[in-house]
Amino acid sequence: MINEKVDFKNFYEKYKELVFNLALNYTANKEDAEEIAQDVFETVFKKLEFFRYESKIETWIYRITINKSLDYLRSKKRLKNKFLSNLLFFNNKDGINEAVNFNHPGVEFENKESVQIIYKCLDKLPNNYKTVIVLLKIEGEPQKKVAEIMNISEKAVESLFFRAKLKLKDLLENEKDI
Amino acid sequence: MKTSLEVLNKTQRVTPPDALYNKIMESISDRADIKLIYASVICIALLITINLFSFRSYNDNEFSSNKKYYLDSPINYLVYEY
Repeated sequence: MINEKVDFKNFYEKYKELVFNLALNYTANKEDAEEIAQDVFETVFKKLEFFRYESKIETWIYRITINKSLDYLRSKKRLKNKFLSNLLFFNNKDGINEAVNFNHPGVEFENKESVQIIYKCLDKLPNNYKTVIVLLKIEGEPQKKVAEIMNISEKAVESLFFRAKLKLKDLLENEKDI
Repeated sequence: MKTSLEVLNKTQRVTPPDALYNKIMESISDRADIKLIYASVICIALLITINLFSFRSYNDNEFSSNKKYYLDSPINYLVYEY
């Protein structure tokens, strides 16, 4: 048990920044990122002995964190929608179903407003579009690594990113119009 | 659009809070062992099954012994209402 604890401590120290920052880049909220990171490390602690080393451990951690973040945002959005529809007795279509409650400590003050708008639009993108933008643009990972994490070809990453950018551009323009 | 995405590039890395590790360890140790939960469920199921069987066999015995008693009793022992 002591060895297990020491190993896990080392493991945590090695990957804590990766997990926390990735979750933060999905949720743009410090508290949410903490909750996701906690959930990720609990899962890793339980499943590490069953890991078959068919892929790199880092890729595995990336995948767990991405899935947990997307699940977290989905459940938060559902909860918010349910609460508001109960409260207002109707479904409002715009704006109120956002899961992002912006509190990103890594964003500089002068960029805060524009990044907040981008996050608002990112939240409306399909999961794979959001993932490709977070990994390529915010995390700054190379295309090859993103392909490995998403389990698709590099070409597919390229075209996915192109489509994601177009969609994001549309959403940002709509946001400016409003 | 280009400038928007460039803004995202400027996002800085953040160090997670120190308390996070303790929080994780606490929640791991708080969680009940899954093997223990399975063992408890199996024990309870076994207990219920044994109880059901014993109840059923007790009922069967009771019925057959009563039946035997009435059949074997001599005619004089029967009591009628007046």
